[in-house]
Order: sequence, then structure tokens, then C-alpha cells
Amino acid sequence: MMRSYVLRRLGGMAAVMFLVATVVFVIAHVIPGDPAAVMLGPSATAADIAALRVRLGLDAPLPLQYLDFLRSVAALRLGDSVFLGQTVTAALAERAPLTLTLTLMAATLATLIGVPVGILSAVKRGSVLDQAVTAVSMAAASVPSFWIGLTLIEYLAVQWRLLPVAGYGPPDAGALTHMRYLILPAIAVGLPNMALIIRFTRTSMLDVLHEDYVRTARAKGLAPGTVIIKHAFRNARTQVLTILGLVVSGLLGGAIVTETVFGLPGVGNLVVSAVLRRDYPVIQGALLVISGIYVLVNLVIDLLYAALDPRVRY
Amino acid sequence: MSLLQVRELRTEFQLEDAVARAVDGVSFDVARGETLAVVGESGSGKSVAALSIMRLVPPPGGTTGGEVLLAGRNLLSLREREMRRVRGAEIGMIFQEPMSCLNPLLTVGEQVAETVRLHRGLGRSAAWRHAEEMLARVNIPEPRRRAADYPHHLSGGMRQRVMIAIALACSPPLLIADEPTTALDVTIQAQILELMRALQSELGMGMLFITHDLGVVAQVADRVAVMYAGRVVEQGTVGEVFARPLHPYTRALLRAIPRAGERRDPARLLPAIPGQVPSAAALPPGCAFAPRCALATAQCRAAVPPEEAAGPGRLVRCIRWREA
Amino acid sequence: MRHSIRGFGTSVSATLAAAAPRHVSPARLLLRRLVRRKLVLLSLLVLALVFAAAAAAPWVAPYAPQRMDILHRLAAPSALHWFGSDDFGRDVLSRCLWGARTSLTVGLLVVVIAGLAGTALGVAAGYLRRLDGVLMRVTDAMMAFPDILLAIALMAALGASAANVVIALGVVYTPRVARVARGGTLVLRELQFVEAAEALGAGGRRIMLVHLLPNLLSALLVQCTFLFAASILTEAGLSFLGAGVPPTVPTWGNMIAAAQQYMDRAQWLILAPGLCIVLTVLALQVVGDGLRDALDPKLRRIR
Repeated sequence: MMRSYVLRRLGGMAAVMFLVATVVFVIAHVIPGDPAAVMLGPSATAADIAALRVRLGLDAPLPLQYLDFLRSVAALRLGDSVFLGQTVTAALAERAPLTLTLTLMAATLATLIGVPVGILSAVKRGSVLDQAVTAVSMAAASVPSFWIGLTLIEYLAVQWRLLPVAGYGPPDAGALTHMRYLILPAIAVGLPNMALIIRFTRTSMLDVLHEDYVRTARAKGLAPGTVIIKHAFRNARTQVLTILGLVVSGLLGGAIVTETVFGLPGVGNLVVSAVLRRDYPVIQGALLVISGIYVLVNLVIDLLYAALDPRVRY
Repeated sequence: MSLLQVRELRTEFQLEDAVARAVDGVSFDVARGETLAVVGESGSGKSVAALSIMRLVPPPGGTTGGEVLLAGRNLLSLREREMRRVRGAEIGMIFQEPMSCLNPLLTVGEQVAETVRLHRGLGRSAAWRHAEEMLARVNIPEPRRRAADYPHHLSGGMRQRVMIAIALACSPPLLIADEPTTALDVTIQAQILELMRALQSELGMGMLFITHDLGVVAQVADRVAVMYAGRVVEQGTVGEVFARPLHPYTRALLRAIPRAGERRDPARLLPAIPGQVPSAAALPPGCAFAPRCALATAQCRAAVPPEEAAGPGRLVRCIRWREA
Repeated sequence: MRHSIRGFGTSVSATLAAAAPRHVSPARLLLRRLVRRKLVLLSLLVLALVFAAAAAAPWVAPYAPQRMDILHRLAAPSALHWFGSDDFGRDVLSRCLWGARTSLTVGLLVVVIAGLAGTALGVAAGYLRRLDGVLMRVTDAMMAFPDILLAIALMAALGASAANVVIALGVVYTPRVARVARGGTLVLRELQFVEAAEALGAGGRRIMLVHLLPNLLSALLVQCTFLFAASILTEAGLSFLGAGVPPTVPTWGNMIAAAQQYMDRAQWLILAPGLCIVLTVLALQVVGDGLRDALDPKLRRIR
């Protein structure tokens, strides 16, 4: 029974990715303007533009372009970058590990601190601790991650020299060195998302703490810790899991901006420079890959949800 | 000696702009082997009184006065850690909504075993066996299979049996039942009440039974306390109170019940009590029932009537109870 | 004597419900609750100030935003330049005020567009089952992109300008509003007053407009407040990356971008616009939270 559930979910994922690919196509091709002209710049001649259009397949009718596009995406052929002299796939493959590491570090930070603080805040609702946590997390959620990044660089790196300013220690220089360069960016990305996790965990826990079965647990004489974790949080954790799925979107977005601030050669940096240069194949490829990651993560979360809650029917 | 003695219990809720006196000087006793029913409409404070005994009143509520003596010990003066040892082991409690009272993510067996592991120190397998025994005792068919089921696999009646199993797993001397059958079908209701009576005599427990249903009181209780707006207005044995109600409120309640077989003019409505229950945040200075009482006088409205003895074990909170 | 007196379930809430205020209109209750929370009041005040300053910028700003004071380039905050001056000698305070105009206008327009479009789509999806499947898949697909990524891609296609930022963010945020509207509609649809209206012969459109919409307003209002906050943050991010509003028009985001290279010499260049963002977004979030709590249907709130 579990298997058919997984298969159904995978089918759903495929359907979403199909729509995602369509959205990507629409953005790149249906928006007014001639991508070939934009790519070659104002000094190009009409002949050059026409030639590029043929090369890029832009002269074919739109529906044909669409089908062609879908076929290449399915085969994971994402085209060639106009400016980098690489295939899009190669460019993305080169940079993805960094972005993923950064995102993972930020996610770990945000979750390991965020969830316990959220639980504590809910349990001690209304106390000084709760109010302070709420205030700080609201403030943290209001700060743009690039501003946090810049401030962290300014104070922790430049003035106090605790951590490297910018740049990048490649993985072969040793895992520790590699991670040192990612600590400040991970904090910059993680902080606003940690605030979100705290707030949502707190809300979920508050809802659950009022449920009848928590009262039953207390009426049994169980210790407060047991009531909170074994009875309350166990029922809140699926909601928290769902929130983590949403937060992934924020983490990926944050990573994109933060890589620019810290000069990290990841996918985010790639996308930003591709946008500024109108390198459409790269933009398309990045859109597909990043949304693919998001959909995959949410699929995993859905499956975990089903595994954790016996009421979910397979 | 009484098993449970509640004296002048007071519990309040701190609201945005007022204080709601949900339980306002409530006193009653429950003896070993006896069932005391606490009867009242919704908002009368009977559930809050039960929660106050267990010290489970949720914030913004808090017990502000009185004593709760369980076998001589005042529960209200215990430290929280000591109170936790009382809950489940010396007092078992079951609630109204069996559909939501069980943790949906734990098996039924685990939820019963948990209590025994905690209070009796049994190991996992011993506790699990005990859980299966308890499920059998509450007449759940195929108890060993059922123990591994999750709550959503069980019907409402079954879940309430599980709740009873949990509450009685450590054989507590006192059971508090807060409207245990209200949410159940009438036929299941009868079965559950039967079960509770049987278990009570088996274990020699005292039972505090909260309900709004006078019919259930008649089936299950030895003595009854009628509550109105946070106070007990009449107490006595079930026979006495039903045959000769002394408080105007009790009389009105009993009058409003249609009796099977009585001839009644279909054009006449059932006698209802005019008016509304006063808000717990705005209790009148005198008798809380005075605004709706045909016998009310200025003296009634001036001060809260004290509880007067109208016979052995018979109490009434009314200054005009003699005028039937 | 097996007849029961029909009562409601007893519970603590019954006691509290019995203690509820009887004759207070919902609007007055809302106002009372909002005002009671001093923090919400303070945030509303802050927002009012920010809006007023932005609206009055042409008259209130001490200098024109492009006016260069060569003698006082990169000057620290002083009596002459309250927030200091940038590398061109332009007054940071004035640029912040004008930046407020741009950022807030963009935010407001995005809320209006996404709010209207999202509500229309969401209510339609919730009420008309045929549309629901398609619309939900499409919103799923669009929400698979991080906000800023989708916005960047749209800006690449559209070209950098304030108007295009509005369009891009409008497209990005419409699905989110649609989700909330759809969710609310699904709940309301099952309630009996809709059945009653249908039984009386009301047509689909009438039901949607007259019955469903007003009840959704409170949830939508809360959502739009948060949306405003999100658009300010995303627009700042876009402008910071250079894919948003071009630097000719000051916005808080592109001011921070330009200030990066002077980070160690002139912190005020980053601090001032950054604080503007934080203050405005924080105020919006506090108000949004306050609105959501105040619109909670529970009768009596715990202090």
C-alpha cells in the first residue's frame, strides 16, 4: 500500500514539474521582446540577430518550440550557455554542490535552534522569555538577508577578524576550511528562516497544547517533559515538517542573494549574472533545477508525513 | 471517614476586563464505594470544580481558595511534583469527548501501559500485559489485537472504554467522570454506565460523576449535588432530592422533564425556566437564582444564602426552602 | 426517568462563554482589541509616519535626492546631513525619503494587483470545482520557485524598471493570495448560509460576491499586510542585485547595493536604508499579527 502511495506522489511530482517547465517556457518565450536581439546587444546587425535566432531555434513556430523544449528537459539537455562556453548542465553541476551545502548548513542551523526555541516559547506562553523570543524573531524576519550578510561581514570578519571576509575555500582544501567560508553566509541565510521556524513551531505547539489528549496526559500524572514531547510535540511535528518544506523555498532564495554578497561561486551567483547578461539558457536551467529541488524536498516531506502519521491513508 | 472532602472551593478566571468566578464556594463529600453526581447546566462550573480537584485548571484560571482533602491530605497544598503522583494513581479521571481524548499517534495499548509504567514502575512487557488485561476488563473484544490499534480505528464507545481502562489502570480509590456518556449514543451510554457501576463495586472506588442529565443521575448515583452559577444549591441522596426537591431551581428542573405515560395537553409547552444563567463575571450580590425565582424576596437578593441543613446529609442554599 | 435536559457539552469553555459580553458589535470589539495592544498601536503609528514621510518627500526632504554636495562626500551624519552623505555627496536622508516613496508605492501596487487577482482566482477555484484542479496545479507550480528567483527571471524577460518590478512581484504573489482565498472559500462553501442562498436561487456569481467575499475579508486583510512586508523585502533584494529598480531612482535596496564598496568607511550608507526596511517591515508584521489575533473568533482572549 505504501508503494502505490509513493508512486502516486511521484506522479504528482512529475505533473508539477511539467507545469513548472511550462511556466519556465512561458517566461522565456512569451514575454515581449526578442531574446536574440537582447543577447547580442545594441550593436548587432539584423543579419546577426537572424542567424542567432535560427541557431537558437527561435524561428520555429511556438508550439513546436514548446515540444522541443519539453523533450530536451526530459532528457536533461538544458542547452548551452551563451556566455560561459559550457553547457548549462555542466555549469549547474559545477556550482550546485556549494549551494546545496550552504542551504543545508542554513537549514540545520535554523532547525536545530528554531524548533526547540519554538517549543519552549509555546510552553512558556506569555512569559518574559516568550515575549523576548517573539520580539527577536519578528525583528529577524524583517531583516533582508543581504543586509545581515553585509553586517556580519563588516563586524565579524573585517573588524573583529573572526571569520574570513569573502571568497571561497574549495572542498579539496579540506572540509573544515570549506565550511569556514560558509559559516557567515549560512548565518545570513539561516537567521530570517529560523525566525519563521520559531514562529510556526510556536503556533503549532500552542494549537496542540490545547487539545484534549494533552489534558488526558496530564491527568495521568505524567511529567511535563513527557507531556510536551511525547504527546504534544509528537502531534505538532508533522505541521513543523510541512513548514520546513515551505522554508526550503526561503532558504534557496536567500542562498541566491547571499552568494552575491559573499562572492560564492554557487548556482545563485550564476543565476544573477545570467540575468544581468540575459543568458536565457542558464536562467531556464537554473529555474528548472532549483524548483526541482524544492519539489523533491517536498515530496520527501510528504512521504515522511505519511510515515509518521498512522491516520494518513495509503 | 470520607474519601474526598471538598470545602469552600473557589476557582476564578482572569479575563480581559473581568474576573469570572466559575466555582464560588463549593463543598461536598464523596465516600468510599459511593457515587456522588454533580448536576448542573453548562456554565454552572461543575467541570471546573472537577478540574480544580485535579489541579488541572488551564490558565487564565486558578484555584484561589478552599480545601480538597483526599484521605485527609489537602491536595491544594501539595507541590506540583507530589500532585503528579496523585494523578492517575490515587485519582483517575475520564472526560467527555472520547473522540479527541486519546493521542492519535500512539497505540491504545501504549497509552494504557504508560500509566502503569509511571506509577507502578513496571517494565515494558509487564506493563503491556497489564494493559491488555485492563482492556479485557473494560469489555473490549479481542483485547490483545486492539491494544496494537490506533485510536482512529476504534468507535466512540470503544474509545471511552479505553479511557476508563487508562483511568483505572492503577486502581485508584477515586474516579472522577466528567460527562463520560454525553457524546455517546443512548445504547452505548447504557453499556458504559453499566460497566462503570460494575467496576466501581469490584474495586470499591468512590466516584464523582459530573453530568447535566438527570436520567443518568438516577441510574448511577447514590447522592447528588445540584450546582448553579458556581455554587451548590442542593445536596442529598438521589431518592430524597428527586422525590422532594427543596430548592426552587431543582424543583423547576424536575418539573421540566416530560414523564412517559403522563397525560399532557399537547397545546401547552413544557415548563421552562424564564431568564438566563448569570455570567460568571457578573454574579448578582445575592442569591444567583433570584432573578429567575418566583419566590425571590429582597433578602434573597441582598446576600448569598448560606447552606442550610434540611436533614441528615441534606443541604439547601435557599432561605425559603420550607415553602414548598 | 431517562430523559435528559438538552444541554450543551460542559467544559471550561462553556463557563467562559457564559461570561462573554453580550451586545458589542464586532467592529467595536476589533478596535478595542487592536488599541489595547500597545505594540500594535505603536507600529500603526510608525507606519503612518513612514507613509506620511514618503508622501510628503518632495516637500519634506532637506535636499533633492540627486543633488550632489562635492565638498561633503562620504560625510558622517551631522547637522548638515542628518544621515550623512554618499560617495556623490548626495544626502542620505533625502534619498531614504524618496526611496520610501518608490518602495512603498511598489509594495502597495503589488498588494492591490496580487490581492485582486489572487482573490478572484482563489474564490473562483474554491467555489467552481471544475476550475479548482487546474488552478491549484498551476499555483503549485508557481510556488515551486523561491519568490526572488521567479521575480529575477521575470525581470530578465521584462527589463529593469519600477513598473516591471510591480508586474513581476504581482505575478509572484498572486498564487499565495489565491491559496488563502481558496482555502477560506472551501470552508465557507460548506457552511449552511451558502446552501440557503443556493436554495433560494442565487446564482454563482452573486453567491461569490455577496456571501463568500465579505467573510473572507478578514483573512485576506491579514494576508495582504504580510504581503506588503514581503514585497518590500523582495523588491529590496531585486534592486540590491541590480535586477530591480535601476539606480537612477533611489530605492532602499539599490542604495545598499551602491554602498557595499564603502562598507568599512561609511557604515551609515548601509545602516540608514537598512533600518528603514527593517522598521517598515517589522511594523507591518506586528500590525499583521495584531490583526490576525484581533480577528480571532474566540470570544474572550487570554491576557
